[in-house]
Amino acid sequence: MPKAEVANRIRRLRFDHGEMTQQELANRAGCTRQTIVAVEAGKYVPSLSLAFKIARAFGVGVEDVFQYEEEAR
Amino acid sequence: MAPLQKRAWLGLGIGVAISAVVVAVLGIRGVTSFYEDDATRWLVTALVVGLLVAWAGILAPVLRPGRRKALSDERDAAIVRNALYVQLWGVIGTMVAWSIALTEVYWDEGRIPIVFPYLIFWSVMMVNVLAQAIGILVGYRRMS
Repeated sequence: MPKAEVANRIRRLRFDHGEMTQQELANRAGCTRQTIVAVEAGKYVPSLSLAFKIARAFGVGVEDVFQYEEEAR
Repeated sequence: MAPLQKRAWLGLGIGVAISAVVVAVLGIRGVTSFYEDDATRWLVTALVVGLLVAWAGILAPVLRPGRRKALSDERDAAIVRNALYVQLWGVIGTMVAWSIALTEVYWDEGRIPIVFPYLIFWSVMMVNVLAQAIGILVGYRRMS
């Protein structure tokens, strides 16, 4: 499994949205809570489709949630 | 723990238990009893088929498209796809082990008893289930 090169601001965005729970975000994005946990921890890079759903759950663009980090290699 | 992960543990437990019973039966009664004794043949066949049916019953509720949304998502699907590599290596390893063992044991006789193709087939089926369960659990360990 390739190491995640995509950073995310999910934790920060959850905090900014009234400490939204991982379960609530999972419900809004249509995935399981475990997947949100894995994405937030950088253990799993979501598909484009799920990335858009997560961004939409926060009402922001995909690049406000996920950032590609070239130097992470 | 994700629903699929719980079921993989359950499947691994059942698989290890059934595999242990099959190995014990063949170990106690002897490998040749598989074709000399109807009871042994039916018992081993029933155990392995039972394992396959149980495994399908354990996985199907999670992976069936209709229920997929509630119990599993794209990460679970990716983990199941990646488990294929563990299955592949498990099956290849089993075939290599059988080939080397049978060749070494029956080299002088120049032929292998007909019972072994059946045992190879059933053992590959069992390893396939165990390897998929292990592959799923390894996938969750890596992605959690």
